[in-house]
Amino acid sequence: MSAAPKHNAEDYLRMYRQMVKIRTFEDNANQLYLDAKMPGLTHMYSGEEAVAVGICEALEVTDKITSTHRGHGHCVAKGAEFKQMFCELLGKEEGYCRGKGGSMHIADQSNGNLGANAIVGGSMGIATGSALRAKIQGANDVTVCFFGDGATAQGLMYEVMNMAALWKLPVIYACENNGYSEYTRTEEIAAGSIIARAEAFGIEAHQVDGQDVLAVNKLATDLVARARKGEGPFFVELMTYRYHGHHVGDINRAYYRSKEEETKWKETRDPITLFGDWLAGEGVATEEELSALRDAVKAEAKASVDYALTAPYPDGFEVDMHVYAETEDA
Amino acid sequence: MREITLSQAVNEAIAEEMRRDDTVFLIGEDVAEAGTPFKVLSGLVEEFGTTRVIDTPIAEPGFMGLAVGAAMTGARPIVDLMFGDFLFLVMDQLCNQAAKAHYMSGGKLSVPLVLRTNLGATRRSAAQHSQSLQALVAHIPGLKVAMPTSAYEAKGLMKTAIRDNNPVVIFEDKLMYQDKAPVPEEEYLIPFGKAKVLREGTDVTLIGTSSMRQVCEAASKMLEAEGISAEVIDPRTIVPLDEATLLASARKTSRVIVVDEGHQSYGVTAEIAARINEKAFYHLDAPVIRMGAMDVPVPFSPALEDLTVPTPEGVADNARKLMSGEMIHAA
Amino acid sequence: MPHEVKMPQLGMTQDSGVIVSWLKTAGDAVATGDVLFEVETDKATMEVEAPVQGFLSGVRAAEGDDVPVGDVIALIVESAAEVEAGAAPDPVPTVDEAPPDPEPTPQEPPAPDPAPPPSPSIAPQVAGGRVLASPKARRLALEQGLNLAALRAEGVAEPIHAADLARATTGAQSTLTAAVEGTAFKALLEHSGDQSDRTRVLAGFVRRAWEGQSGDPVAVLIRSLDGSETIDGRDDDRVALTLVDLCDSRLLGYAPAIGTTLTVAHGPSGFVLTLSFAEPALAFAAAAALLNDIAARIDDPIRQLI
Repeated sequence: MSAAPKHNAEDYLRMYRQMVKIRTFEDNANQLYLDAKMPGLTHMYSGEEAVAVGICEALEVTDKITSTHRGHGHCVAKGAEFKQMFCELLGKEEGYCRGKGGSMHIADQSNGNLGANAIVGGSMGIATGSALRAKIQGANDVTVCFFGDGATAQGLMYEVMNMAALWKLPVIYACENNGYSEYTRTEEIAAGSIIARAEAFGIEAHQVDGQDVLAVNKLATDLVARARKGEGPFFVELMTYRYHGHHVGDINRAYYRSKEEETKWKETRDPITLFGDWLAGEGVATEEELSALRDAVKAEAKASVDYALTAPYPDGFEVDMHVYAETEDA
Repeated sequence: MREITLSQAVNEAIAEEMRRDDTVFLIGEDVAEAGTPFKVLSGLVEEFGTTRVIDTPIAEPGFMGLAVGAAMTGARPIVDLMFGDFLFLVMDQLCNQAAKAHYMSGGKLSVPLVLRTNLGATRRSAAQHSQSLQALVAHIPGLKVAMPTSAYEAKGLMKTAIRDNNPVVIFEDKLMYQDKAPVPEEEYLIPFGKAKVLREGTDVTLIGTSSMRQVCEAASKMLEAEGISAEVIDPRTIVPLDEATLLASARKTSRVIVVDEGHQSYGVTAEIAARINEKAFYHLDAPVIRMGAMDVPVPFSPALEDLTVPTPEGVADNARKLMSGEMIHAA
Repeated sequence: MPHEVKMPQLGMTQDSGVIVSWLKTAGDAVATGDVLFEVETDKATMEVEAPVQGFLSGVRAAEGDDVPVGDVIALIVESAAEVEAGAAPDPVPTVDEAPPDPEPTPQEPPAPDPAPPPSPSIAPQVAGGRVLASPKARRLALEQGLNLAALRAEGVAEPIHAADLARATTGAQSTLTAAVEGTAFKALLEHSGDQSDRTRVLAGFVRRAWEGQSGDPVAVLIRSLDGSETIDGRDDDRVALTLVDLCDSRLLGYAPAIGTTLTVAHGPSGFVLTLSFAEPALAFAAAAALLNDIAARIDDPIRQLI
């Protein structure tokens, strides 16, 4: 693990806890789905926790993020609560979006999460626009645009990176390269280098180990600070891995990747195990303390799931609420 | 009252709102020094500077996306889409992102932006610079759609659009930019969803959007000379649609012709005609007639292009048929 | 084409039926739904109705015959002229004996020539006899008790529009007449000192009487002798009746061809009321009760106050 001496024990433990929260959330969501208790479709973030946590721990509440279809991790990392998240996944009234968004559209504007997006690459304009607004209005918030390697094939990315570079916008493009674009290896959909795409616009670009939360956090902390000073935009390619299939039902995936490969990542590159070992080795926390922390998160998740399962659905009259925002008489 | 062009009216509306609210900004291709190809925005960059009048690269999906993000986080962007035909380029950002954000977030996010663009054929611009695509966006819940019919309307509707907390698409007719109309110096707004009865009549109702209002008014004058009394109505916004005014007129006259420059099939005319059929059926003495642009890509040759759009003569002719009881489109 | 009447299959295991009785004989006009014959099946005796209208013809199964299901037992032809006499001995008509096809062989319609447009008497008839009329015309016809088919029969061209209703004439109007002394009514008018109130007061009587009879509030269209018209009643109420006050003239009655019209005239001793209406839209009993009620109100205006 990279050394990150400026953090104190509390910060480290919060990072660990946030990663555990994401993994635990996904384990529960996966089970809810498999048990046919969760409608729709969902995409697991497990394995990529260090990316969301490493970056979001470098952000303030006022900073913004845009998320993806694989967005539970970003949502948790940016400060969302289990209860409202599980309620949203189950289409319940108390969900973050009152059951209107679901897994692929959780938005939590109170923590600066502008929403998950079910269009691959669809949020790149929104993130860049948020940064444009910050620049026009002289606000000092930074926006992070999360997207996957698959989204680098979308034309919108090049249009908005061009403008972000021209206008020096405070936006960080965070490309989570998990090796697969849906059911296809990244090499088969992306020609050349991914970071070179950003560099072509004169955008400073970095590649970082996405399983090393300290490395991610260190880089993010630096780039966020520089973006606030007007040195943006930046581009980061975070090398990571998705433990599950493209979506929960994607079980028979030997045709595009081997079980051996998956096992190897889980056993040797798991971001939570790696960071837990580092914490124990550095004497920040004992294995027993970490285990107790994991159990506490599991208990919290279980309570939230139980709550969400029995929580009420929205009333039918809400179906045509929120199509249009109210406009006060001008 | 002073008379100004539709172009000046739009310019005034935007300038007034930018002075009133410093979160309003303009973004699009050549909106600053060039002031757009139609010169509608000339002078704004001098007053508001390049941070609020932003020239973009030629990247419609890109700057549309930027506007969505800016609107979501506290700004009120006005997006300039040089030609209505370019709507096809921005569909994901407009329809999947802007239109749905408020709903998908359960009301947490909102996207107060204005997309101003244009419509209208007969400018000899051929199939990719002449379309009238209002039906396309009117179909998407979450978007509002305004269709000004004069300089007066353009100013009042633009100001209302900028203050609205939703994505609003405004279609200006690119052939009307130099048309003058009386516009008061004093500030005014035109509420959405309130149609305007331009001329009262008893025999037939002519509903016309955008420049089709002028077509209907010209037809009504021809008909008046023949003793046929036509009522002319401008819906002003097609989303929201002032159904009550349209239905009341249909009930009064029993005969309705709906005229809009979009393609006739699956269009604005069809929607309005269907609503009248559903809700005023037993007051109709004849089928509601749709008149849209022909279902062909807009041709270049003037000899062909002029055949594709509704004309006052065509509207008057259909009105006469309705009055004589001639069977129209009956199986 | 003549319609073939066949022995129907009425039960799952039935393969024949016994004709119990014929309720129509050859040459009888039959309407759709009229009972043609009774048939006894394995389950019960059932009445078989005419599926189309026309004239019964070519009856080829007598009472008591046991006929396989699906066999033709009679024909229904379109006109009396096509009726075949008596029960034919042959169960199946041969080609030579087939009744003349009343429908001419399809052919191109005559090419349009300078002839005048089709006269109303040959207004297009559509399959099933449905009258082509605008939704508004249908609604008004219903409200005014007009029979659109009768209008068509009288030559009103289809599609029938609202304006045609006023132009059309029908022979189907009925008239009821009443006479009342109306002494108290006259006294009431003299007391009020304004004879021009009379028509309004009468209209009020009519509206109350109608509401009393039908339970629905209605409006009255007052037609003056100069042809002008005003509505008496609330805006939302439908206009049920036209009132023509003839008291200031020598006229005694006016029965227009359509709608429901009440005239009030000075008679030899009091007032003469004439109600013209279309049956069965306004049934005789209802019309009679209505007119009686109005007459009673004129005879005893105090009743109006109750």
